Amino acid sequence: MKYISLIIITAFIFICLFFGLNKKDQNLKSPLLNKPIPEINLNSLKNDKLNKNNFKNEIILVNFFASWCVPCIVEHNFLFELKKQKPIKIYGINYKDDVKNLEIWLKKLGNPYSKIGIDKTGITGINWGVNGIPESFLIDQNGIIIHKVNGIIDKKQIKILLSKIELLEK
Amino acid sequence: MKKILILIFMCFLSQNIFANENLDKKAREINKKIRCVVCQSQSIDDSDSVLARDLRALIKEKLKEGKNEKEITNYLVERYGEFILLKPKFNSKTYFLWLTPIMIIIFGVFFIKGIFKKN
Repeated sequence: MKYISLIIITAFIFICLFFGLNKKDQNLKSPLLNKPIPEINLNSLKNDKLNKNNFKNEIILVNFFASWCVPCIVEHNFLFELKKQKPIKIYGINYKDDVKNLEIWLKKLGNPYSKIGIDKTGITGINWGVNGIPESFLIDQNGIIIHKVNGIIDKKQIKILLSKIELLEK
Repeated sequence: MKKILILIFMCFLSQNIFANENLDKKAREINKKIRCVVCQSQSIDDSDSVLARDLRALIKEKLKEGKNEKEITNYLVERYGEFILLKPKFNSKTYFLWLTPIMIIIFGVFFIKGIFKKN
């Protein structure tokens, strides 16, 4: 009887460890969800500002990206696809990048962004709890973060984003 | 007069050096408790990743601004969650993590005691 209980407890611990250790980071919820957007005050690519005033009365997708980020190239086409399906504003936050490289990159791949903020130091990235780019945040009409995408926005994520946007528009 | 001025300057300089040393020491103490979220099993003190470097600089900056350790860790937890702490706080989400080793030890002691009694 004692051995059976030992086996059950050991098995329970192993099951906990198996599922716990296999849990991907993507499943970790951002503590910023359902909260107002964090501090943002950046110079934009077109020499104006990207700040909290730009987040009023409309649904916005904020996408952290850089020209040196390989997955961002893959994601870029999906951003166009998302815009095609739902013409929402996408603000890009260019994370720790060289502006010249960014301009070349945008010329080559196209520009899906309504505005691009330059986060040269990465401090805005930290303010927004960014682990690694690409990362995106869906912001509602009141400036509240509704959804976070860790990694590439792909077809699956587009579906999720579209359903969230649909809910917000109701 | 010249000597006195040099002495004052030296005092001022040494005070600054000691203040910086203290700041660095305090920053490293905090760095050791903060997880590098892109490396996961390292603290930002051990990691050379870009994010770890940025976080180290940010912590030092916040200390210079006069923020204390609690304020800095709260700032990071608000953005990255408790995952960023290498030593998670004891609360409803983490009690299982903290209590499991104790439960295993207690169970082990009883189990071994049982075996000895049987023998």
